[in-house]
Amino acid sequence: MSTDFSLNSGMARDKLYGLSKLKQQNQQQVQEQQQQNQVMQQPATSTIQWTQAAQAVEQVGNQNVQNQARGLEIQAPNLEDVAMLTSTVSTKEESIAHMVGQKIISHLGINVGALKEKFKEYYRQSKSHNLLLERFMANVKMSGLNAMLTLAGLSADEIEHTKAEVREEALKEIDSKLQQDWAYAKAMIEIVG
Amino acid sequence: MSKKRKKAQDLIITEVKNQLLLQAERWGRKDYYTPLKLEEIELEQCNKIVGEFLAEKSNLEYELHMLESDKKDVLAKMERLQIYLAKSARVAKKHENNIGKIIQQKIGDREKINAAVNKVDKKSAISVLISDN
Repeated sequence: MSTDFSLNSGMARDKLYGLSKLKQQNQQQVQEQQQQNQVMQQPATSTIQWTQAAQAVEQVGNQNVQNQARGLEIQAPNLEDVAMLTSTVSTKEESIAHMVGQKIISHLGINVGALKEKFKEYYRQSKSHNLLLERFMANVKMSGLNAMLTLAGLSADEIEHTKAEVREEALKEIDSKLQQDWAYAKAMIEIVG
Repeated sequence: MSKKRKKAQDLIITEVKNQLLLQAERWGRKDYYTPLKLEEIELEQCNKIVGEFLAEKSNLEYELHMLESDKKDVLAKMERLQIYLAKSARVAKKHENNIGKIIQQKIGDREKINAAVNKVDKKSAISVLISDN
């Protein structure tokens, strides 16, 4: 059989009929895949749909190769066409990674509230006057906790808000300590001796 | 009090101050605790201590006149309190002078500034008298 497909009046009738049937079947398959590739309005599935679409294209591509081996050439939609085929895209923030992260956190039995408290504590210690403690907390523990908190579902805004709260508390404490522990003590030592 | 003990106390006080200032710097307050600010905090605490001593003095006076307690003991306490009050007033005065010096350093020579201000702002020679008529 020739590799190029072309409808020729000189071809045998049964062969022509068979080839046209095959072409119809392939067109039906492509239409079904296009329907599958349409993105539904479902949350947290945007990444999966793109991967599904890519897999569908690959399958069609593989089929294309098989058809070429049989001597047929069928135009299958490319990856660029898949982008054009999808009309709507889900833009919700919560993605598969978030859901998986929350599942992992709940499976490990980690309390998000306790994690938040630990984060506040370590953030406080990461600004300590003790150089070793400050470096260790800031580089090791904070980076780990940040990752855990994002996995648990806390947004960057929430983390920043928590950090601002801790900062306010710490500055108030420093102010009161300067007044009480330093200035008052110094004055009493000067007066009383 | 021995010199060694006083030196140790001064060391601790200085270390506490340095650590707190370092923490404040790490939290973002770099130039907030200036020498002027620290002097003001010290003056505030001195005045607080003076207030506490005055309250204690009024309590002792009440005890002396109203309550049937050992008067010699109360009088001795009042004498010591008077010494501390005088000392605290001197310490507060010292801090006030320090604040004045820091402000003076920032402002500069007052006479030169007044001369410069007089040159810039020329006062009008005409004076207007306003009467009831």
